[in-house]
Amino acid sequence: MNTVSSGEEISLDAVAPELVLALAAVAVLLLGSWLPRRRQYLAGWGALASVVAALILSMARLTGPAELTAAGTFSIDVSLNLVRIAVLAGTAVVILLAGDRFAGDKRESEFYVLLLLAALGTLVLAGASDLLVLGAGYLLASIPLYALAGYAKDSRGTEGMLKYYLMGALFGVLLLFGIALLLGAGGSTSYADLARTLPYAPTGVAAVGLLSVAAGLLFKAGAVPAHFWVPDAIDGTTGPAAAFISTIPKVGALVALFRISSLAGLPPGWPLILALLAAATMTLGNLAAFFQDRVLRLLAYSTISQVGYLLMIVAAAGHSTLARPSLLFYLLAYTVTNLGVFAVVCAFPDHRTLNDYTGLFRRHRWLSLSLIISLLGLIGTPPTAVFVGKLTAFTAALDAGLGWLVILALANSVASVFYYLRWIHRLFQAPPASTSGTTTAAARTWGGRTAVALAILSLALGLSTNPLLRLL
Amino acid sequence: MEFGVALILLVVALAITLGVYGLSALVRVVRKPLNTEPFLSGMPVLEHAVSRYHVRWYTVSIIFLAFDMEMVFMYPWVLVVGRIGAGAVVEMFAFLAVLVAAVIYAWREGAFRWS
Repeated sequence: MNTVSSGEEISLDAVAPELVLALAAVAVLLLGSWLPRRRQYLAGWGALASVVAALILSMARLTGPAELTAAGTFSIDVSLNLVRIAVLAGTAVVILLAGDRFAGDKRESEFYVLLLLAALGTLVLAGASDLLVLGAGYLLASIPLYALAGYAKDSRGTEGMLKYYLMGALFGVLLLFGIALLLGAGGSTSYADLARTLPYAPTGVAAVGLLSVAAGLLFKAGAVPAHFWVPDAIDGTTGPAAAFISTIPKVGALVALFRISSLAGLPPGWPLILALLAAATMTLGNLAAFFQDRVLRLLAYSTISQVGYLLMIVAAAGHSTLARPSLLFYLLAYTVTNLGVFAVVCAFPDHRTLNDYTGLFRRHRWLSLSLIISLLGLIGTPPTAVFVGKLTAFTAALDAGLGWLVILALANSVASVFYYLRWIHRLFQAPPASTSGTTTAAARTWGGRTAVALAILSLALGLSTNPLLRLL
Repeated sequence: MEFGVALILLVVALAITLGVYGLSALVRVVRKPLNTEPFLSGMPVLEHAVSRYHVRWYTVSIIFLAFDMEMVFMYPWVLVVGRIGAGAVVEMFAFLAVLVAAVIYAWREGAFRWS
């Protein structure tokens, strides 16, 4: 990227999607303060309209030239544009899911405000090309999510929120500490300057600083040394919040980690450290998911293992030309597929365990079919989008000389078939006669519709891979 | 011995501290601690020093942060606003408007209700 133009002033035109989100968050907060409770849904529609407007604005800039703005601290390029699309579309889906769940709730409009702010923070994380902006983005993407995790104010939610918050505070401090160390070692917080100065900096200080910054991003992504909060926060919170927490922040964090990992002049062992973290993440997530009976807990561990595959691409950063398109495509595919599964979970808020899904195929044919497509997608079955993501990820890792990691990832993918199929198997079992009366809950409308739409989208993405990959 | 001077200083500081304690142990008359009330600017002490206080103070202190942050960013702004001109004024007031929105939200939520 030698042709990047850099302006000192913030170009309002270039950051228009972020600006729309920020203004909408303030407007919806004030709107929600004056709306009577039965009209709070207007706040939801307002939030949805702003997200769609931001999505259209980012679509319009999709093929624009890469540029740096705000004195070189924020880069607008293909990576950020794709993250914008994934994050904004994902946020729109979560707003629809939340409309089902929280209509008429005491704090309905606050839920949307927190969603908008967390999405904005994720975009800042993904676009940051300066460590201080990265730190600000981390805080903006984290703090609204702590409140979302404990939104229901029940004991499970509070426990999950407290774990999430304490881990977030710890890793946030580590991130800031790492920024200070890198500033000391490299003499600047800007990525462009660090790429020049880090090769001459003391290796030990630079390595510790880099590792600390990565620790904060691994927390946002839910990868192994920082994954303890994931199962409790996701299992404890409400369906829409779980869908958001397990999908959206990971997109921003992984792109931010990729940006840092593709800097020139990093310590030579850096790809190996990332590869080891990827191996630990995918293996641990898979092993822990095997015998989970609670649906959200199973999905939480499944997201950990997916982050492992994504980290594999980050480890290949700078060693393979396929790495960046592969990461972006996988993130888009993961967002669509994972939200597809969570949309089904949100459509049946009373189904907390796998046993509750027994015999669902007889009652809700279309919903079960879209759940099956999304679950097979998470495994990486051929016609779906995640299959292409995994394939390009494995190719990128092979290019970077990480053959052992590819073999481990393949073994993990095969093993993951077990727990996804356990869930699919339940759908076709005959429901037990005694409880058939209690489990015939009607599906929530928006949850069902979005689930079907997302399953179709994941198939369509998988089938239209080539034009999309050429764009990235 | 880069830190030799610091080590000598540490030893001197410890020696003086222990010396003062030893001196007071030698010359004191009674071995009973003197009980005094905590100092409250001359006011009589009505409650325990670690007594609990109302949860409302936490929301008040968070609202205080909104004004505090305003001032933190205004001090450097004052130094450059004359040079940069109208653009800086607009930016600062946009920032203030966002903070005021937060205060208005807190007001609607009843954070200023004292009863």
